[in-house]
Formats: sequence, structure tokens, C-alpha cells
Amino acid sequence: MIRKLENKKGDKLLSVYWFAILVIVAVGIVLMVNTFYGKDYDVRKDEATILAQKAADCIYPSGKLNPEAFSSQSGFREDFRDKFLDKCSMNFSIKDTLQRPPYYIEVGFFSEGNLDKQEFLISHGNKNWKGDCENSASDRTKLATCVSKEFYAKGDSDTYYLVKILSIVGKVEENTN
Amino acid sequence: MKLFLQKKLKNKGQVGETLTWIVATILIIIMMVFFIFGASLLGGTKKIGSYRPDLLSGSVSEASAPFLQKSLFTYVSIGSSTKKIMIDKALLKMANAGSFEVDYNKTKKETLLRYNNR
Repeated sequence: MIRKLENKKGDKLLSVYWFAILVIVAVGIVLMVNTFYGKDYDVRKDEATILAQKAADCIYPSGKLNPEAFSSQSGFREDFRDKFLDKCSMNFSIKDTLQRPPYYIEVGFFSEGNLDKQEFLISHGNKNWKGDCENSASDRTKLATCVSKEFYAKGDSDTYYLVKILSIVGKVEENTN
Repeated sequence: MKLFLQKKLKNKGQVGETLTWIVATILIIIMMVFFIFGASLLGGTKKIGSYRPDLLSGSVSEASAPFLQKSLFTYVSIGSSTKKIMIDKALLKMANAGSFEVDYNKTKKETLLRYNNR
């Protein structure tokens, strides 16, 4: 009779232990899934590429330099540079805030005669991010993402230009969790 | 005397069993921590934009190189052969440096074919 009672007590203790193990394993699985899927996707590189692509499509839409940006009589147009964001349907400002934009774009035109000399430059956005591009740190999570692209564009008659686009996406705080 | 010995032996057995369960619990907790750490490390490697090549069609890969397409259009539309050679050399240099995500020679061939068919 006493032995039977002792056995029952032992069984009860064992089932409590099993329940505790079950809870530990369940909590562990929840934590594992949460840490894996809870980490943010860093899409800044894709965002910067899309920004560069949008600028390229605006400047050189269909095998011809945008007439609003370049005319054969007066060359590159200053008014296009000033209103670049509006003309290319871009908006860098953040809604309802006075924060500096997390974006920067720079488009440089180099003529065929001297590809080292910049003939015309368009730049908009927060220039402070530019310093991050030259930083050679291996961990770039706390730095802005820079994407530079270049392509050849045909000008008037038989001339061509090398167009270099540098697009930067900051959003450092959102990606350093 | 016999009863005393029996009780002592039983106590020893219980201690041994408890020790086994404690070690097992510690091992389970260590393994859990290890896997949680692994999940956190793997979570940091998640990337958008790297798809399996067999999932991508030709048109998708072509669309992923719009800058090359623009340069190639300039290449085919320019009249001077000297300028053509200069552009081609520069593009080849860029391709060798890994600037394009697509095969340069294949894309160039396709663009030339398309342009000549016009």
C-alpha cells in the first residue's frame, strides 16, 4: 500500500517534469521562429537600384536624351537640373516631417572627348550620406547604401555621353535592429 | 538490517535518476540556446533579390540589366565605327569587372539582332 502511494507520487513528479520540458521546448521553438522571421529585410540596395533606374529612364527614355534635359542648341539645361525631382516624378520628402530626406541622387555627364571631365552635374537629396560611400568598413549595417551605375547615352548627331548615376539610401535607423 | 540496506539502495537509485534528468534538462536548454543563436545568425543572412536561376525567364534577366540595354542601344545607334569600338571596349571592361548581372555577349547579340530586324 505504501509502495503504491510512493509510486503515484513519483509519477506525478515525472509528469510535472515532462510538462516543464514541453514548455521549455515550445518556448525555444517560438523564440527560434521569432528571431529568424523577426529580422528585417534590408532592401536598401534594391531601393537604390530602383532610384538609379528611374533617374536613367527619365534622362534617357527611349534611345534619346530627354529633350527637357538636353537640347542640341543650348546643351544641358539648367532648369532641368533645378526641377529634376519634379520632372522625373520623384519625391524625397517624408510626409508630415521636416526631417532630411534619406535619399541622395547624383547624375554626372561626361562627354566622349574627355571621359574624366564632368560636363554637367545634377544632384538632389541629403548630401550628408555621400561620406558613407567612401567608408571602407566591413560592417555596413550602420552606413548608408550606395549604388553607382553608368551607361552610354547618345547625344545629338553622332556624339555620346557617359552618364554616371550615384544613388544613396540612408534609412540607417530602420535597418540597425 | 535487510530493510535498512534496501532503503539505502533505493535512495541511491533515486539520486542517480534525478541526476540523469537534471543533466538531460541542462542539455536540452543548451541545445535550445544553440538553435536560437543559429536562427538569429541565419535570420541576418536573409536577402531579397537572389532567386534561383531556373526560376528566372530570359525576359526577366534582360529586364534586370536596363543600364546595359541603354548602353547597347547607344552602341547600335551610333554611326561612327571608331566610337562603336570605343563603347564596345568600355562595356567589355565593365562586363569583365562584373558590373552586369547578365551575359554581356549574349545580350549584345540579341540587341544587334533586334536592331537589324527593324
